[in-house]
Amino acid sequence: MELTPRTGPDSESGEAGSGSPRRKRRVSLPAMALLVAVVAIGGFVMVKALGSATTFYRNADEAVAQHNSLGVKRFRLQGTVVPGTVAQTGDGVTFEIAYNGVPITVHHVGDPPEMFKENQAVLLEGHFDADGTDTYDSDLMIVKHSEVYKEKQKERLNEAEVNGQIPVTTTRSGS
Amino acid sequence: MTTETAGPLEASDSGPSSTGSRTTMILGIVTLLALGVLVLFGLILSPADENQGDAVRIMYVHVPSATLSYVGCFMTTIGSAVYLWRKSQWWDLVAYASAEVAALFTAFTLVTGMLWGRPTWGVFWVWDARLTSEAMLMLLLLGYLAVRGIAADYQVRAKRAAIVGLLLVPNVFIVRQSVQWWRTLHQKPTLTLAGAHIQGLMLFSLFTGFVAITLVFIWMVIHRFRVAWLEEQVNAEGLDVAIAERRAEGVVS
Repeated sequence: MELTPRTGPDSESGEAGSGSPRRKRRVSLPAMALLVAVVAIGGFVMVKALGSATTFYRNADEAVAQHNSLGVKRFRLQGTVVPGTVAQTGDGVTFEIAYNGVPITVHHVGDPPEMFKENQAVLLEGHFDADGTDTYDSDLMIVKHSEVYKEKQKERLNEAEVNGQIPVTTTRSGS
Repeated sequence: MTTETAGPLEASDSGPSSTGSRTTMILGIVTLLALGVLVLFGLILSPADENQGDAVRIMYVHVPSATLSYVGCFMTTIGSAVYLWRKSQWWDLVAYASAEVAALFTAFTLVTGMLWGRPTWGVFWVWDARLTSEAMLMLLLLGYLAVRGIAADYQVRAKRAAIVGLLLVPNVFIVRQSVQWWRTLHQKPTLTLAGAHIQGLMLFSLFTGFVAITLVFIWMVIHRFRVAWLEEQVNAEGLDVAIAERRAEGVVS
């Protein structure tokens, strides 16, 4: 181990013995105040920055209400897929979403995610159509999940009774 | 080193003398058994989810590891605060060991979250408030470890790290509340004081996940602490030897 300053044993022991080492190590009040200030400002900035994520998405009813100000600007839209409205198109899928009873027709370009289905909450990225109607052109779809988990079991038990055998789950079948 | 300064040499006889003990060995065996139970319930006995299918099984490790990473952050912040107050090396190393394990658990949370997100959301990542604040937490933990790594005296490094360590709990609070305060893609908590949106074997599997991951966390923190403690003992001993050599030089000349 290298201890760079080659001072004699006297000066070292002298240093260690002089004064009270406790006083040196105590955090000074201005330093503490500065730290508290920095933490407070940092926290404030972080909350503000994250706060812009408040409008991470707009619900369908809000989007319709703000249609004029939104224009053809890009924003994220959230709503639940209305049953019976889903139809395949040449380059994607068209369907209606609704939130608080307000529907929007969506033209989505691209393949929808695997979990896309009726009554499923979805998050879309795109903009209102230029023709002024409440039609939304989307090019990115994300399926939104709720915090509720439900077993698939009941359905499987019914299947089992019908088929007279225990169904094999995908995990156990391996591939 | 005859001064009473709190430092690497303080209370060297009150710390561990090896990386493990009989107790930690038993803890390790129990942990492995618990992981076995988790695999049994998480992957085999528990049913698939109505919507998410088998991807739901990721939750049984994702949620517990996220929770335990928060615990690690709390321990680091507490350890940092006590270190700044009392200059206790023991608490500093508790903070250090917890931060390292918390970083590992946070990384694991991010990875399992992404692996769950791809099949269920359709994307690995979005910059919503929950995911963004969790990424901030990961960066802060890495920052803590980086600050510790900057070459300086032990006391200086420990103090700098402790200041970063104080920021961890506020960040954890933001991560935790992000899904309540802001609109996020990430769902709200499934387990709340008001009740659980999960039942039966799925709930039990999540419970086994909590038990197993908690044991892993405890085992890791204990061992990381012990290694860190022993490292500091070796460093301090090296310092003693070096000082003794210099003293000898002084006597000869």
